[in-house]
Amino acid sequence: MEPLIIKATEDTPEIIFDPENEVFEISNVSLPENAIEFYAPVIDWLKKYKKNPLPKTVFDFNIEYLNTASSKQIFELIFLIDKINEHSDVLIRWHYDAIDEDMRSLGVRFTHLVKVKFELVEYEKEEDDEEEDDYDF
Amino acid sequence: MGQTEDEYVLTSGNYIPNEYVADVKERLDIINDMDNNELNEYFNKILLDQNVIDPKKTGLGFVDMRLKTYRKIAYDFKEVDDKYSFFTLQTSVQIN
Repeated sequence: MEPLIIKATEDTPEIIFDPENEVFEISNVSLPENAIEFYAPVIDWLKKYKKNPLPKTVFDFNIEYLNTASSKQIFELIFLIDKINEHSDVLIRWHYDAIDEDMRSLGVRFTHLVKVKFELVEYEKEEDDEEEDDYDF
Repeated sequence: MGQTEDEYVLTSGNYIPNEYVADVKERLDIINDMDNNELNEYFNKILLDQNVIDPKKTGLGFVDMRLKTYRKIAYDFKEVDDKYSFFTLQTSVQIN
């Protein structure tokens, strides 16, 4: 199956659904002007993937910030992933910044609405200037 | 955005067509009357409702604001002309 690769923009997330390399990840921010339009191809791709999924799939949701219109669409994805779980072994990992109570509680909300295995993964954001110190010139 | 001693105050405003005013006002009143439990249930209901495609018309944004701020939403509609009104809303979050 062809991978789905959507590059990040200032207000839309990066999406990589790549069965061959076993990468299924959504990252960055999700504030599209039209969330329904933006997520339509992602939902289509998942519907196709559902017909013939890998024996095991791990979905990583690594979203830093999203608007309410996106939360509805992200839940649509999770709802579909929950259905894929009926045919194969699926895990959702919901990553959130340790200081971000809103993203944590949205993850908790989603876990209550689906049956699929759902892990909440807390991370500590590194300071940008620390990262720059790692470079040698 | 403003700031008092113990809270950040957020105000936003935009023009809306007059024919939407009654509807938006009604939705705000219903959402303002909900307690935390009802707000959470309403949020989940909209997420699970497959008939809701565009949540814009459900007031999900207002529900989210109330859940995040623990405050009621203050609002005002001022009729500008026979087509548009100016809609302002205000909420605040505690500085901790």
